[in-house]
Amino acid sequence: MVDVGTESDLLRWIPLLPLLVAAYHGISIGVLRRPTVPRVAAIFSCAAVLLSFVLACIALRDLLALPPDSRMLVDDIYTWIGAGIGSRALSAEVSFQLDPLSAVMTLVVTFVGSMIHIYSIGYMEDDHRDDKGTQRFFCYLNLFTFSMLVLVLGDNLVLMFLGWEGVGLCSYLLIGFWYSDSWNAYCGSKAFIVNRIGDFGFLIGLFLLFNALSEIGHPAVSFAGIQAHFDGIVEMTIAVPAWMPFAPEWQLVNVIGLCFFLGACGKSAQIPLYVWLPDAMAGPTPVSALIHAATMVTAGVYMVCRLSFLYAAAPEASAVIAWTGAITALVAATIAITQNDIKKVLAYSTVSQLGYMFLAAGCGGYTAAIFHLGTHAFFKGLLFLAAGAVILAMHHEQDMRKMGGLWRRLRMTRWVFFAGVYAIAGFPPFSGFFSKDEILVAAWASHVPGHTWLYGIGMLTAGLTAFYMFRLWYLTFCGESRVPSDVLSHVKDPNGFVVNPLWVLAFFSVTAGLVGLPQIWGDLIGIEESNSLANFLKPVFAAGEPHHIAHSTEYWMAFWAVAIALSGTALAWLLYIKKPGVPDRIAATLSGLYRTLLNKYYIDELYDAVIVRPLVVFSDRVLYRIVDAGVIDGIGANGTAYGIRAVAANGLKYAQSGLAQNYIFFMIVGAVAIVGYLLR
Amino acid sequence: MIPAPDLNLSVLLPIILVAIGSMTILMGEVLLSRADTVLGREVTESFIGTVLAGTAIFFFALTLWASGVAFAGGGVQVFNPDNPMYQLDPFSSFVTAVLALSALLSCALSITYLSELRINHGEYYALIMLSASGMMLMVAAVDLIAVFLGLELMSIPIYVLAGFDRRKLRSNESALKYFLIGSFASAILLYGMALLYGVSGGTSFEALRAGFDADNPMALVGLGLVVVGFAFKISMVPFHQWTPDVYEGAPSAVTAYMSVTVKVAAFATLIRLLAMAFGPLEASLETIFWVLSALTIVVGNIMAIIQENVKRMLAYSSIAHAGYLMIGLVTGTIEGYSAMIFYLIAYTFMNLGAFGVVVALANRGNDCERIASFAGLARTRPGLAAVMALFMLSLAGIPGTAGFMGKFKIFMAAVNSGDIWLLIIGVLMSVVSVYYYLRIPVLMYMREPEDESHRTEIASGEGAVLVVCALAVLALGLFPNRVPTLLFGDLDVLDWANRSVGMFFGG
Amino acid sequence: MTESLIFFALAAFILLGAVRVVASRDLVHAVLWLAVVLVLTAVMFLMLGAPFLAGVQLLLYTGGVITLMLFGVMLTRRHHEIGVEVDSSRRLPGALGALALFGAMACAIFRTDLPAWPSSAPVSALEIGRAFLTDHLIAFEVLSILLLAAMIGAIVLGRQSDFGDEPETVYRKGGRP
Repeated sequence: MVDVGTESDLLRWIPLLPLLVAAYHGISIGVLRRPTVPRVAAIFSCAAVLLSFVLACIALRDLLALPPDSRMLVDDIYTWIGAGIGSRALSAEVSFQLDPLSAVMTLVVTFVGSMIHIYSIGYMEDDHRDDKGTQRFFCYLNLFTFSMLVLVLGDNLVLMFLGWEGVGLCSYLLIGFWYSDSWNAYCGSKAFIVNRIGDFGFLIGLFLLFNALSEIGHPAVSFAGIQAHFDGIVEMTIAVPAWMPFAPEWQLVNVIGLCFFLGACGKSAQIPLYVWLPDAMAGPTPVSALIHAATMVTAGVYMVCRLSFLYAAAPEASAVIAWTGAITALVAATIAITQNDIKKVLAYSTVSQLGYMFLAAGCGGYTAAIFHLGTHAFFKGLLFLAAGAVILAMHHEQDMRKMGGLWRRLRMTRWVFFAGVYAIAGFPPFSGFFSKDEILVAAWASHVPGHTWLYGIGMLTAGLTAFYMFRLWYLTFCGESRVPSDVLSHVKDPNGFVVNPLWVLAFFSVTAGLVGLPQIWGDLIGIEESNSLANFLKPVFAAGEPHHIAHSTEYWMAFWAVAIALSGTALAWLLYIKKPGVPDRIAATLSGLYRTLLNKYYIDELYDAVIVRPLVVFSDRVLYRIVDAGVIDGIGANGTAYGIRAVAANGLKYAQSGLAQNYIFFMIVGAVAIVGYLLR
Repeated sequence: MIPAPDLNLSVLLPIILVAIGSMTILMGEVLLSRADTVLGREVTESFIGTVLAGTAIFFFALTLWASGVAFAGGGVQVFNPDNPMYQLDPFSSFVTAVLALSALLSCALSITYLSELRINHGEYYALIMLSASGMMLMVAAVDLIAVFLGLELMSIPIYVLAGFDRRKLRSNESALKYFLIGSFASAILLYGMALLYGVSGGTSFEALRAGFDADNPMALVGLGLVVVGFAFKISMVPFHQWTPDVYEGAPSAVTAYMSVTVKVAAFATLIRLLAMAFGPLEASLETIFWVLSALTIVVGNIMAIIQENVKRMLAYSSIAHAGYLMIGLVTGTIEGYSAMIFYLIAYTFMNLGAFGVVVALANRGNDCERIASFAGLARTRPGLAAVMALFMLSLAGIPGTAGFMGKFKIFMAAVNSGDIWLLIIGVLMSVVSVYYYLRIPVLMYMREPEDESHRTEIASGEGAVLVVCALAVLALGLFPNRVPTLLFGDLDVLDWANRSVGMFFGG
Repeated sequence: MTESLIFFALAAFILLGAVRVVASRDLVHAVLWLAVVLVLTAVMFLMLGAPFLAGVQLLLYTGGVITLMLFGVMLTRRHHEIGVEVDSSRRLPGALGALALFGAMACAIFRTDLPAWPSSAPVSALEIGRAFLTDHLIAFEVLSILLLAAMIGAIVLGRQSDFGDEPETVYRKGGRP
């Protein structure tokens, strides 16, 4: 332990409350088999998360009472993995820490989480399927909240990994929640497996980092411990064969950084592992809002920021992050333009916004990344929930081509939705404007190779974002209604559980930007230290030395950002309100491009052809046929029928002699190989 | 007049207890079946079976207690100082305790299953106990003769147990196949031992170590053949092919027992052999273990993907786990061995649990073997589905479960001894493994139940075993340093694993 | 010299006998060839200075095991009709594998300078008995358990089925896809 921080027994209750309620739900369903009344169960869950939020606020107050340089609360519960054995003994604690970074994350998770929990009460009541399973739903939801809080509060990488896997698991359970649809189950599995690829990177990075630290005599997995001894491993390199790029040596921290970033790619849906997120929209809408927009998918960004000291020392890895983020932002935005499913648009928008956050983190703008993470949690959570309200009103219709003109019908939803659209499009003074602006400034000022290009991509994406968000807005709420008249007459605002949290979120979507008001605007209205978020987070992050940017440049950048957002909006207005026929004509003219975008660049098909199918074929044709040839059990019925026939016809004789001989033959081959090797 | 050797009978206590248990069961069955009523209860076939299973459980519990006491006492004791063949030390007493525990759980698991198949005979428990005594001998052996005897005493009852359901052709077939190939493997092992004896002039581990020369080709061949013999028992690729056939054909309760205990015993013996007898030769073995480990991990995991039968899938999964365990052998460090021991404990609970669910689902003797038949289990039997999901997650190595802790320790050992590529293969393949482990939870939680009548009530024995395994999987994943128990306070399992292998490194 | 000659002749016959055991189509022939192999092995023990072992080998295997096997074959109904099917399809790979293993081991043995253990006098039965009750007491006792296990196993497998002879009736359906 390096910097112990102030003890606080409060912290453990923040994640434990949701866990306890989840356990209660689990026991009541699985063991007692007496489900609680849905409303009561839901209220338990909401109360737990709200209480966690209150506790987080109290913890924040305690944290703020400390001097800025030693703002750290810790709650050491017990030693999870014991001191181990041998010279490189590893010890991991179950221990929570609250520093400014985790404080921000915890507040976002518990606050947005409790809003979404409340929303879920209303949303799930509308679920008219056979197995409502409300309690099961809230059980998973609480379990998710617990895991997410462990992830952000954990003081070491192993504990973080526990939360990391936990949120993945819950996300998988929740995506597949409405299992009457086998597509949902498929999507859930896909999300989980793609995430596991990322976890592979996380684990390898963890092991490499630990190995390097124990080589210099400081085996540690806690963030404080790693950071304290990190200087010792910065210069380490690993030798690679000459044919590999950048031979003969790789800087170790770059490799570790990239491994962790692979993990972040999986969780935060970045290229090449973003494919699961759009499919994850198969889950209930509150889940999409909570997990796949506001909290879980930002875990990767959180991790990169948490390891900022590592990435600050690994410029190449940071550059990869920045470029991956920028390209993901652009690609996802282009796909979002063509999607017709309201949730799909929001999903690709999430991927795109997460790309923004990585762009910022890669450029060293960790504060900007976290800032955008927070504002995005508000406005994207809001957008998803509002979209859920629309979907509820439309009786589970998600296709925007069958909407339109809902402005007159959804009298409350329209306002909150508009707030969300306005915020994400980046118009001042809504929150999205400030956080996006800060990212663009960070990109401009960074030392990443091609940083001006990154800025350009960021600007372009900002324009696209405004375009597709207003496209969504116009298609859904404005213009002529394309809703069948029998449905239209029933369209109305959902109940209070659904609408009230939206107002709260809308309020924060509008105002949250003010906590991170950039200094240039602060100067304008005469506030010193206006960017309170940045000042709060400053002790956590490794300080880089970005290019200096003149204030006038920053004003110009803000101006151009607004201008491009405006032009995106104008274009959307032109195409979808003024001349509604034009988009189809464009699609027809550029049919190749359009179809490529509509089919998401055929990435799913590509992965299927390149990875999934070869693996299955290899397993089936090669290993199954050759290595385990003659095994009776088969995929199809053929093998089985053959086996049983053989047994029936010849008694045991046939099956025996054949297979046993084969097996023994392989054993002999193995034995010869081993003996031969030993005698070499 | 033969001078009486200075024997220390108490050292043999675990084996003696188990052996006495098996005799008691054999005689008890005869006596019980003669009586019409015992203590006012009518003697039926299932009553006899239950009583005998109870006897077996009782004796295993005694063994567990005895070996636990021996482990707590520490120190090294031999049975016969003139020719130490059997040595009770922290390692052997700890592994013996693990074996006794898993055998105990297997017996509890078997009662109802066997009754439903109407094969709940006393011989079953007697054979289980006899094979357990063989394993206990083997893990405590410090002499090749004792190792071989233990191995045979372990194997022969299991060959028979695999064919215990005599009416089922597949059961017979698997027994015969296992027997044929097993005998072949035993012969190879014995040949290797003979060569080693020829080189060193003695059969004790001490003599082997003293008379060993890493440049001696015959010693190397002997070593290689011994490794092959054990590779068969722990189903290492390419000596694994019998595994799915036998696991599938054998009655599920037997599969549960053998998949766990044989692996524990064989791995423990291999650790002892490597640490005590082949020390100087280990370097030459490292590459072999490396390749075998990588092969086993890859083949086991990939083959498991395409299985449609849950027992076959678990068989390949057990092969894959053998591969992970091998990583510990590759490292050859105290950390690696300790990780292996911990992994074996974790594996015991999660695998026994997984097979336990298969046993609990068996419907009047029809093993519920198709993976597809797990569909909708969460609806029809939520508790069973929950524990099965837990075991699958643990086998897949999700944090918070015993499986993760085991894998984590093994991989950590690999990293610390510099086997980065093996680590990468292991981690990558455990990612692949999620694919097939996850199929079962997906089916259970995200599909409608098939029109298949699952037995609706769970037998108390099975239920107890599943609860114990599930709690152990969670506890070992969450508090490996302080597994809370009602009776014995907090148990530091990680520390135990360290202590048990510490003796090989002068600790 | 003569000793080596006798040894190689014996070895050749043992090998030949072993091959015939495997390759015979008639079960009785196979058992008789096995007897030949076992007797010759006893001779080999004698050459190696282990008269007791040779005696035991003759008594137990030739006297006991082979006789039992023959009884078993004779008592089986219609034993003349039981032809042992010799599956020849895997002969070549089998032979190649065996040859490779043999080659590897022969190579190893020839490359080794075997330590010259002092040639001891033939071990007497008394000494063997004594060793069983002192140094190898545990092995001796465990062997008895092993034999017990084998016996129980044989009884279990040999016992008439609980339902009479009706294998695989109930279970064929539904047990497997």
